[in-house]
Amino acid sequence: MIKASRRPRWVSTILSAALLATLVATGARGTGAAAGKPIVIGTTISETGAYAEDGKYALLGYQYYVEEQNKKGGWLGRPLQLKVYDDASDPATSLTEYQKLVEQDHVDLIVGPYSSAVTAAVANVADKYKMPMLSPEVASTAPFLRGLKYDFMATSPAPNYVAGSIAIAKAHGYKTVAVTGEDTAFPKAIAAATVKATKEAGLNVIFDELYPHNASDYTAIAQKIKQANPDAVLSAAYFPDAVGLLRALKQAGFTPKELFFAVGATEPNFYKEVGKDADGVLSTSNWSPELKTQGNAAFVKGFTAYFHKPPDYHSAQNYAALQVLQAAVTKVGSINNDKIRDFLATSKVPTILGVYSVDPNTGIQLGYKSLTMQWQGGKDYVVWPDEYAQRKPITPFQWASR
Amino acid sequence: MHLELVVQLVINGLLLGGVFALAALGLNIIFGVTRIVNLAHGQLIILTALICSTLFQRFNITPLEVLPLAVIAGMGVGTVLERTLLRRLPEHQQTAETTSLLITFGVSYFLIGLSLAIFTGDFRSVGYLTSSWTIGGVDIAKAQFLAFALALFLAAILAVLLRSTPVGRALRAASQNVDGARACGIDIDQMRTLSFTLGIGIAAAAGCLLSMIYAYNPDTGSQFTLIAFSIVVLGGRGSYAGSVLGAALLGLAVSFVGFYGNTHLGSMMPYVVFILVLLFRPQGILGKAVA
Repeated sequence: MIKASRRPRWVSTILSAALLATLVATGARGTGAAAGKPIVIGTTISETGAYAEDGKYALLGYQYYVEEQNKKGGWLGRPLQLKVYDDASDPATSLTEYQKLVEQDHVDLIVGPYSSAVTAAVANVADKYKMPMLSPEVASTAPFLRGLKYDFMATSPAPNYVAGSIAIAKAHGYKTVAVTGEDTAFPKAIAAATVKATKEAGLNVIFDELYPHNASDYTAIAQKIKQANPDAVLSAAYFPDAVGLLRALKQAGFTPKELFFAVGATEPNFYKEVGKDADGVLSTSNWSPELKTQGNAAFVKGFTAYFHKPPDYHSAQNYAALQVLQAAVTKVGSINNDKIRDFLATSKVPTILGVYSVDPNTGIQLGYKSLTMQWQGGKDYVVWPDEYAQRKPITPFQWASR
Repeated sequence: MHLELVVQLVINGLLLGGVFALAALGLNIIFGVTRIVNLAHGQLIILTALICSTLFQRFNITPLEVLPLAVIAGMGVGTVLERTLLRRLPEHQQTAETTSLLITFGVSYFLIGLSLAIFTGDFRSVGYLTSSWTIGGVDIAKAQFLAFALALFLAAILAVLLRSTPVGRALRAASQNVDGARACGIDIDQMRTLSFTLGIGIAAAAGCLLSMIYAYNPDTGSQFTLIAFSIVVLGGRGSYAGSVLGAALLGLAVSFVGFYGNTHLGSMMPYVVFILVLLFRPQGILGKAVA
């Protein structure tokens, strides 16, 4: 038996009034200097789940950009509005949500989610609806080799991450290299690229083995690396394994001439947790607050003032993606997704990350470079490439205390 | 050279075993007496480690200085946990076991949420005692050595406590035969509480030592519960010497298989051994067969 709900009329009246009030309130909030129907940009972000920490920084980049643009009058005289769903770090959830963004919410534009895995899943949606998608959080090149036409990499690709560490090794006459890292998709891609690039640079890869996710022991892999005795250890590690491997190498009494961790040693708290042992460690980043690109200093200042904390490189990448999208919309002069796609495939756009440009056939990023960083006296400095370098790399690596 | 390497691998394995044993001892005493698998064990270890890391960073207090207080606090938490939540288990043995799993599972998620709220999801680690002593060409990692020594010490204390004191005998009686122990006038409820008091106290000690060895965030606790549980099964329920021996064997397996095979196989070892023991010697290496 289904019992029909019978509310007195006054209840519905109050409900409708409340609803109306809410609508008016939300409508009023979005209006800045710009007027008219807002341009709605849809995305999903990993606000919860495994990627939540980084995902949140990525979202702040989008949010800050929208805030800043609305103060300046929006795009095409229309205010911007960001429509965000939490994909819980799950590709399937994100996929459904992007479909919802397009089919139900009728967003005008879409931009990419957080992480390679999630982006790879939703790139198909972009193609299906013929909506171009700038993806600032996908460094893996594999998703772009499937013949899809609407997804554009808006960050430096993973193979770039190791270029600096290999260049530094080569410049110092180091001959032998051990490659290691965590055996999951992203680090594995970096490790494979490291092996390839190391050989191309004429150096010898004398050790190449990955370790499992959540390893409870790093002494075995450290012991093996010590036995191989390479000049440089180039490792594709997240934060916890970077710490584990670093400590195990130190405890094994092995001092390589060069020690590199992509991407785990880049996080600001690496030095906080590891202490002086971090000094001399090389890492990689796609962005630095000190980077002398157009608008970068203003971005760092504005973002920090707005959120009361500094941006990380994810924030910068997502901010830069919307800079590129703005250039496209401005050039096209309307929300014409096909024309915007063509612009994104073929144009060069200066951003805070550097100059955006992609391979028109695959959408793989060609313009952005990766920076190589080195911890020196507790600070992470850009040491490569030369045009952005703040300091010279200190070589060879040495443990602060034994 | 080769002999030196083998000695090094043995040392690495034993030290790793010490770390594992430390995680397992507390779980074992609780499991032994109450038959409750404390699924929140790893989270309690990690929570202590996170507190150690914060104290180290803010006030430069080392985990070794925190250790005594942490043990006392852990004992308090264990007591409260048993008195408030696990005391309310249903009478019926099997229902009680299932419910206790659900309760400790719930507690583990509560602790993850609590730790996330307090410490965020950032990975932490204490950069203290991270170097080694080198003796005759063999490196002995300092923090791991301390964990190993503490595990041996605690196992010895537990053995003495259980064999030579009235409370210890009561604890053993409670773990071997609840009805018999009750008939002899042993307060079973008190013994159950005591097992949690001791078990969580040891978990806190483990957290202090592990804080210097691993990098961890609130999500990484369950890993230690799993390893600890396989050691308890391997060594035998209620056998503390068994836990230490089992942990040492696992540590050696991880060290040697990781070196001569690969680290993937190495990290599988705890679970391979776990399944093999369940199949062929369910009472564990030093456990007594249950009729």
